[in-house]
Amino acid sequence: MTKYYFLEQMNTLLEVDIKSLDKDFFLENLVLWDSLTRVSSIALIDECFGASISGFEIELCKTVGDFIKLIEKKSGVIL
Amino acid sequence: MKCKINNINITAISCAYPREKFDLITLAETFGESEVKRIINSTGISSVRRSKNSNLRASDLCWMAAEKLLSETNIPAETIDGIIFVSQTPDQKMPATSIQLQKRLGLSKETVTLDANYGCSGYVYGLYLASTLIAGGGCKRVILCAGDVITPHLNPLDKSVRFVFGDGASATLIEKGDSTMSFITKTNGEGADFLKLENGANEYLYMDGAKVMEFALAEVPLIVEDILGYHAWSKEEVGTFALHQPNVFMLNYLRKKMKLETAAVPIAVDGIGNTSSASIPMVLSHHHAALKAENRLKKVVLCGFGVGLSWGACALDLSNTTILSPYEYPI
Repeated sequence: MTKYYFLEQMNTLLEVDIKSLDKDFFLENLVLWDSLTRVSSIALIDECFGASISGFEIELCKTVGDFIKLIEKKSGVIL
Repeated sequence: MKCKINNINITAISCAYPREKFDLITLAETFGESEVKRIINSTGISSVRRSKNSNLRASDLCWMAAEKLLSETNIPAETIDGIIFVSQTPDQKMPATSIQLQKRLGLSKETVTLDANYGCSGYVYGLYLASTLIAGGGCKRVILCAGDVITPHLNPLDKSVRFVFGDGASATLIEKGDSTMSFITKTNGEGADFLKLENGANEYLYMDGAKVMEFALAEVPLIVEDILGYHAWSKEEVGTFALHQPNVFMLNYLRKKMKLETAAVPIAVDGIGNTSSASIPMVLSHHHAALKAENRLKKVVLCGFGVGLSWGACALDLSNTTILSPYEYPI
């Protein structure tokens, strides 16, 4: 349930279905991948999974795959 | 720093902001309508108080708040013997703005006047300073003026600040009383670059919103927990957590993270904006009637956090405090 809520919220933030994107898709090519979305993502990940992710860790993510891998590693949830 | 100050009371709180409201949707011309709506939706701030008068100074709003505070509580100006001005936007580099306020409010020449350069944590720092002036025996009645007129320092093209900040100020009267206030303050200069306004030709406020948010989300729950333990209160018995008001999103997030009930975390940021050191008295001023009616002012926790980085928390009793509704400037 939480996983689906998270994905739904991420899709709203990015205005795109994140699971439909190729894992090699560069985050910087997403129009709405800006600091506002990154901040909202940090809060959302904490809210949904109780996992703390720093802005620096998110900045290191270059692709959708990196981002999903980071969340899975921190939360223990397979997206 | 962690300390308790006994025999102290906040007698009254008053706030003031510009009469003009700035609707953020009008920024669609600059940033595009969908982007503006996205930001408004994320922050929960659709308009802010922002004066069109380029001559407006923080001291104008502080003066109004203090003047109303004195007149509404029938306290003679000559009985005030201390005034502290907490702001990042003093009227000028010298002399201190607190000195200007001493003159403008008609305070005695015996008055202790101090300026302190603080932003969003400034209200707690100011209360601590005011309380120590009284506890030290030098002063009997101190007015804490806290607030900013930040509009002149907002880069018109910088979304991170233009959609968030508003102008506002407050006045708080602190004097001897029968209650105890607990304080905790913390500082980390490592984050000095996250939020700054440098001297020079380009005097625009800079904010790394993500870094500031990350700091707040990490530190606010810890210091709130700390002040509760120090003052021997459980979070369930606290009626009001008056947190600094950066935006609706962050406040809701902090509330959920700390598992606090919605009614215990009042919010007053939409229609006002982030008013830095004035935001805590501002939220109390906006919701004072409901907070009083619901008996939520006996056990109150304040928490400010921001530029520095610095953050602070205070546990206190506001049940005997006269809290006035905000005033619009000019009248």
